[in-house]
Amino acid sequence: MLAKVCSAAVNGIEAYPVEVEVNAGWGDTLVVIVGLPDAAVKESRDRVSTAITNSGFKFPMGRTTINLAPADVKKEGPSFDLPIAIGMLAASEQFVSDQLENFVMVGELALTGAVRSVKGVLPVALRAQADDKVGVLVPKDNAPEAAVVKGLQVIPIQNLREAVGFLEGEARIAPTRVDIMKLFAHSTEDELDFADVKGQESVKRALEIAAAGGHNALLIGPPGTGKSMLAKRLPTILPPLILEEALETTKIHSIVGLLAPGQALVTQRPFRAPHHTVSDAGLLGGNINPTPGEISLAHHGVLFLDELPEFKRNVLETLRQPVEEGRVTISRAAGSMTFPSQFMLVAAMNPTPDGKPPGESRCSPREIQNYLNRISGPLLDRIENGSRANHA
Amino acid sequence: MGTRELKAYCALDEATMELLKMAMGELKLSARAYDRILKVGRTIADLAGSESITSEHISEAIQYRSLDRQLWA
Repeated sequence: MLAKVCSAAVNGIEAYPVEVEVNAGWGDTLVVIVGLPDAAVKESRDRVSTAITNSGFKFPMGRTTINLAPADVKKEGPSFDLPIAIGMLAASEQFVSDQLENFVMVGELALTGAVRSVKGVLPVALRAQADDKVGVLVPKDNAPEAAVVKGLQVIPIQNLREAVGFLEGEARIAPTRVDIMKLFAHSTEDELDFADVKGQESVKRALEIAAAGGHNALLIGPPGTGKSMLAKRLPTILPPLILEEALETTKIHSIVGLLAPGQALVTQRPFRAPHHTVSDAGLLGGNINPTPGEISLAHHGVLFLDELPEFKRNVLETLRQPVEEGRVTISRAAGSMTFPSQFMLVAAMNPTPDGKPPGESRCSPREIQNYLNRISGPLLDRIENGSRANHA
Repeated sequence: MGTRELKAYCALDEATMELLKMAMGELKLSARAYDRILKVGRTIADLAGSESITSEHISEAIQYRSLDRQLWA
């Protein structure tokens, strides 16, 4: 028999539907997965087989063919385990359900049959809602993330048996709900406070203006003048995220796997401070398949580059387009993708290589000039607020 | 803000415009810098609760761009 189960995968920051077709045929017992599966998806076969038998079901005899459509897009990751298992059970007629086309399913299976959390559940839920699905079956730890989507039944699944029970109509599972207003209202006690920094009023003023208008800022000053301290406290004076911004930010964090288990929404503006040894792929995004980098993780938040001249020059140059346009296009052999990256750039640096002010520095003028030249004119041009921090 | 919005929300009176033009020449600022100074001026004016951008606001905005220029020059 042929069974069809709805699932989804993430491309960039949006999800696209993946139809999992499972055919239980005759012949030698074999499980074949087609549809350009990557290594993790190919391993699904072993995880799913064990999970099925450990959940008390029978392993399907005969030749099982699993197709992940569309067939010309590479499928990645373990999140197809659950839909494949459900498909195999439905195709071998071990349960009957008329709900398979109403729900989108994702989840990794443990060998015990338990369902593990996966990345990118929020984009999947948003796509399911856009496609007018009734609901989604997702791992329990991912359920709050999906629950922020209105008009969708989010069914938290802990194991394979539960999923089957729900789809058959034998088990009732209450949809997860989150109170979005409550999530936003919950103000985290900031241990950091802008007022912690003593003095430096002119720098604070510059940062206030930057925070109020979302302008970029550069703090120049000798070490120990509180530049890093102030930058870290900048998020505390930024305006709060609105819901649309929070959803976008959460999508990006979800795709990279940065949401805590059970976290529904990112409610605070992100603050990313990559170390100056970061590569251009780490900053902009990349890897073999286009994935968001630090600048996209800082979307709607702050990207703080401490010790600006220590960053590789070619890496800094790549920041020009994103700072100007608020998005970055990454091209790889696997495809090209545009990620949002609207962030506030805050950078800190010393005025000279040895940190002393130009008058007292022991470095030669050439050394100082070389040091300052590590930051290109065009990049400086894009920074609106330069502010000097002096010793208190 | 795009160019149209800049014209609408960041209009300057003659004296302030002169001030900005002078600074652009002295500090050799680019067209991009001009746009950004206007935007920062708008923020400063907003923080002060002022509908229009005055020369005080623009001077402060210019000051922030010139600090680093002094260092690099």
